[in-house]
This record gives sequence, structure tokens and C-alpha cells, in this order.
Amino acid sequence: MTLNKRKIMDKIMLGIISALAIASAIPIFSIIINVYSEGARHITLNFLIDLPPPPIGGKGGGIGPALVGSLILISLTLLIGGSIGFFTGLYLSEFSHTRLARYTQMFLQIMVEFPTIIVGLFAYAILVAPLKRFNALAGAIALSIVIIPYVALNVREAYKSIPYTLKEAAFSLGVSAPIAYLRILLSAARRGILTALLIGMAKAAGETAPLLLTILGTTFTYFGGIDQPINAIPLLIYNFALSPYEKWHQVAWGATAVLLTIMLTIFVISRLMVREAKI
Amino acid sequence: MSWAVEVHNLNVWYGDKHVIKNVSFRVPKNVVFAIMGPSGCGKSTLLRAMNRLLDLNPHARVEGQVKINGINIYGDNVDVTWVRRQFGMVFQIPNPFPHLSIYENVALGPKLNGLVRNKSELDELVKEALQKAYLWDEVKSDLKKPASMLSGGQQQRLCIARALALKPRIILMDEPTANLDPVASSKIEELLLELKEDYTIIIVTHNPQQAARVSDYVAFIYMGELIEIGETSTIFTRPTHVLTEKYVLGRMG
Amino acid sequence: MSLKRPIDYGLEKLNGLMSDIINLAEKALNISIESILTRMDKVEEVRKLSDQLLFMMDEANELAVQLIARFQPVASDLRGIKSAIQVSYDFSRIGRYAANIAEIAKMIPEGGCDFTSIKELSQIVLKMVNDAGEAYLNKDLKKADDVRGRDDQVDKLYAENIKYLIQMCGKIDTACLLSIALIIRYLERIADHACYIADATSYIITGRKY
Repeated sequence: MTLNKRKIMDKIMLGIISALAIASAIPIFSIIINVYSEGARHITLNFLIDLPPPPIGGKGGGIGPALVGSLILISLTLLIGGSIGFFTGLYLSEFSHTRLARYTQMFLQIMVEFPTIIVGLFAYAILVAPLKRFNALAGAIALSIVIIPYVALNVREAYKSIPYTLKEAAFSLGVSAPIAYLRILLSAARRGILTALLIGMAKAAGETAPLLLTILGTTFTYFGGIDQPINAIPLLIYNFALSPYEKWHQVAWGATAVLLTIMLTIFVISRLMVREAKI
Repeated sequence: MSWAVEVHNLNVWYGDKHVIKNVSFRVPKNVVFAIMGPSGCGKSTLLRAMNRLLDLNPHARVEGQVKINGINIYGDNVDVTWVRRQFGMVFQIPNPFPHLSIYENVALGPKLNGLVRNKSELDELVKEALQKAYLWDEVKSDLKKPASMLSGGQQQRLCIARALALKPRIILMDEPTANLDPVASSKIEELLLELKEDYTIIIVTHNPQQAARVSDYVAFIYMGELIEIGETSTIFTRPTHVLTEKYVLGRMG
Repeated sequence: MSLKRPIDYGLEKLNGLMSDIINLAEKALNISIESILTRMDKVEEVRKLSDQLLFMMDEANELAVQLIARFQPVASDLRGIKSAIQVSYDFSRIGRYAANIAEIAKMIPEGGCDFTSIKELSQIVLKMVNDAGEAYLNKDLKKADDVRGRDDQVDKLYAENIKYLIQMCGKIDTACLLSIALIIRYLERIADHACYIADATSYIITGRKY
């Protein structure tokens, strides 16, 4: 092959690869553009607080109960799933030589891929059926089970990435293991741990399947207690989008825009933190 | 004669590998005691066996006794955190906590161990430790700045201050100047010679000249065994064992 | 096969210098004793050798100090360098005594003297100096011990001869008497220095004082 022909071949290949790269980025950009073009105009303060509008007639309305519900579920999930995940991750990192740690890690890696609808079904079986009604706790439990593997594995990485010499320095101060891990080394690993929790938060905000069989999705109640049904933004989007009412479709678009904004914000924050940590 | 540390028939295994073989010696008080030997001879392991930092390694197994003030630190019912507080430790790569300020690095140990009652006592303790490490004048107006801002030599002196803040009896040093430039290294060596008035210093070094310069007693470890131990001037003018002679002459390895 | 240490280059140079010093001292001693026994005037020659020995002693000292400054020698290296300073002095003294002995040739009267005692003693002392030099260069502990052992013999012969000379006072030519007395005195001192050299050799090998 002559030099010129090779140069041309090189340029063609580069062009093809670039085009494919752009092509793979197109979906996410089109989703973002699409969602905001349909839903952004609905977002007002009232939209975030008010009860949903009646299917026909009436005016205004919002996603108040769903937003409140999501916030409550996220908090509960972080409390339950976040702490279990954190301590599991800590155990995996510091006791990685034990058989329990090895099997647990394997199991968690499987759970990452686990169908979340099955998790929801499990939560239904243990919490919804006995109580004979859909409830918020079941939703929180389901979401917790979903986020535990993510939190645990990321916390494990965070602790594993602490240089061994810092661990030695911490213990050489003559403190007990809990203090060393939770007061000294946690601080050293805080970027990674925060990232883990943010990932957990993002999942708790956006996962829909675990909610389908657990929380029901109240339309008009903000919060009735954790043993009562509750709503969440993804569930509201699902229900309203499937409804026959045009009004509710609009609300669904608005809710989608809100959810997307939450996700993008979490994404940006965690990216920024990772970059800072690398320096 | 009372000893700072007594080691009796110490054996350490990493899994199946026998890395410290039946080592016994005694360290007098208020001296600089050097442990020297070629790379991989087990001297760092020996040091960590003394303050039970070796416990952090799940594959390490220890047999034998290490006594401080007559108490065997490997005995039953011994509180590991108490053992570790009897020692201050300084490591090969300076390792101040990077996410803490200079002040916080020194204050952390005393705070977590409840050594002081209020903030002013803590301030006093931090200042004293930094003065003893000959770092106070250089950092007194920058106490809140992050420790990572200091130079290598300053960081190492900060680590020494951190170790001193717990008021230990013995200071363990694992090749403290290995990663420092010559000027910073000699500052640390000069510091050692002053610190020995108040503390007993056990320093591991891979550089026999350093052992010759700073120590009063030196132990030569080779392949996990204690080959020879004695006064520094004797070891370096007329060593008894042929391996010791080979090592100090620079003919080993 | 391993590389030479930086100090080894210096130590080799020092050893070469010491070897030269030893050869020169032995040469001076041999010539001076022979000049007495054959009644020849070798004063000029031996004096030159002695001066050269002094110069070389300074060179050895200078080199030793440089090695200490640059290489921080320890153990046997250190003992070797310290001993070189000592031993170069001993051999320079031997050279000086050799010159002293050579000068006595001028004192000997026309008829000559009975130098059998000198022959006997000088043979022993010459061998001592030779052996001490060899022991030093080869780091031979046994030979060094050997040299030390003969010192008693020398002292004994010396004492006997002095006694004999005192008895012979008046019966032998005074010039001969004085010549013999002085020469055996110098030989006895040379033997002492040979012992010092043997002591230094043992010190290098064992680290103990003798």
C-alpha cells in the first residue's frame, strides 16, 4: 500500500469510529432533549408541592405526594440499605481473607445483576402479604436490597484504596479497631464512601420495578405512616403515563423532567468528587 | 538494670514461611538501638512485632515473648491498644493523615485516647510535640494548613511529633530517612540524638553507615536470625561474626 | 565474581605503597649490615634510602587519611588503614637505624674487628624483619606470632653480648668495642620494631591488642 492510500484509509477509519462514538451518545442526548422539551415547562414550585390534578377538569396540580414519597423512601433506603451496605463493604475490605468475605463478595456481585422485579416480589411476600396492605416500608426494604451491593462494593473499594501505611499509622496511635476504621480511616476514605452513598441514592430515586409490588402509589396522601402505602416519582410516571387522561400525561412529563434533573445532579456531583479525589 | 524492651525467643511466620527465627535481645533505656541487615532479612517484621502492629496482618503468626516493664505484651488479657500506646511509630514513607491539618495530625492521638481535658491543654500538648520534633518554628503560623503541603522532611518530623504526642516510652522507627534527601535525613538523625535523652529509640535501617552514626547499640539481623549484637563502636571496629564483618564492609549482596 | 568496592581501589594503592616501603627498608638494612661486615662505605646510599622511606611514610599517612575521610572505613578495613600508618612508621625507623648502622663503618679501625656476634644477631634480626614484612603483606597470623616469639632470643643475645663487651673492656680496641655495642643496640631496636609490625598484623586480623 502506498503512503497516500494508507493516509486516506487512516482518515476513513477515524471518521467511522468517531461517527459511531457520536452515534452511541445520541440516545442519551435525545432523551434529555426530549424530556426537557416536553416536561420542563411544567416545573414550578407549585408543581413540586401540590396534589395531583383530577383527571379531567380542575387546574394546576402537581406531584407533591410523589416527591415527598420519594424523599421519604430515599431516606429510609439510605438509612437501612446504606448502613448495611457500608458495614458490609467495610467487612469485605478489612477481612477479605476470610471465606465469608469471599463468598459474600461473590454473592453481592451476582446481586448487582439481579432482576429488581424479583426483589420487589420478595418484599411483597415478606412485608405486604403479612400486613395485608401495600406499605412504604416494603418499598424501602426492596430498594435497600437493590442498593446494598452497590454501596458495599464501592465502600470496599474506598477502604481498599487507603494506603496500607495510613492504616498502620492509624493503629499505631493505640486506638481500638472501631475508632480506627470509623473515625480515622473513614475520613481518609470519605470521597469513595460518599460516592457509594450517592450511587445508592440515585438508584433509590430511580428504580421502578421494586416499587410496583410494594408501595401501591397513593395519589392524594403525602405520608400516612411507613405501614401505609406511599407514592414515588417513578411509580407516578408509570401510572400516569399509562392512564387514558391527557392531563395526567402532562403531569407525567413534568415528573420525568424532575426525575431526570435529580439524576443528572447526582451524576455531576459524584463525577466532580471523583475528579477531586484523583488529584 | 532495667530494660526498655526485652525480646525472648521471638518467632514469626507468614503462613508457612519462617521469617523471624528465635530472636532474643534486650534494649537498654534511653539509647538509640539500631537494627540493621540486608533487604528482606526481617527487620521491619521484627519492629512491628514489638508494638503488635503485626496483628493487622492476618497471615502473621507470632510465638515468643516481648516484654515491656516485665509485662509480656503477647500474654493473655493484654490490651493491644495499651501496648501500642507505649510506642510511638514512624514509618519509611512519611505518612501524615493527608485529609487532616498539621494541628489535627498531632492532636488526633491524644484526643481519641482522652489524654487531655480541654482545648488549651491540647494546644499545649501539640505545641510541645512539635517543638520536640523541631518543627514548631516552621509551622506555628500554618497549623491549620493541610499536612500534605509540607516537604518530605517536614512531613516526617510531623510524624515524629504525632508519635511524641502520645507520650510514649519508646519510639520505633522503620527506615525513617530512606525516602528523604541527605539534608532532611541528617536533620532527622540529629533529632534522634536529642530525643534519646527522654525516650528509647529503636531504629531499623538498611544503611550500616547510618547505624554507625546514630546508634549506641546495634543488632545485625540476617535471614531472620540475630547474628550479632553489641555496642556500635565494637561492631564497627571489630565485629565478631564473619557475616557481620561482611555486611559492614559492604561485601554482602 | 563481584565488583570492587570504592574503597578497594584505595586499599590496593595503599598496599602497593606498603609493599614498596617494606622492600626498601629490607634493602637498606641488608646493605648497611653488609657494609659493616665487608667494611665498605655505603653511608650515602643507605642515607638516601632512609630519606626515601621517610617520604614514603608521609605518602602512606596521607593516603590513609584520605581513605578515612572519603570512605568511613570500618572493621578490618579500618584496622588495616590504622595499622598502615603505624607500620610505615616502624619501617621508616628501621631505615633510620640502617643508616645509623652504615655510618658506623667509618668508625671501624684499619685492622677490622671480630664481628661474629654481629653476624649472628644480624642474621636473626634480618630474618625477623623479613618475616614481619611478609606476615604483614600476606596477613599471616601464624608468621606474626612466630616473629614475636623470637624477640626473647634477641633480647637474650643482646644482654649476653653487652655483658661480654663489658668484660672485654680494655682487652679489645675501644673503637671495635663501641662499634659492636652500638650496632647490636641498633639491631635490638630494629627487632623491637619488627615485633611492633607483627603486633599490628595480628591486630588487623583479630582486632585484639598485643
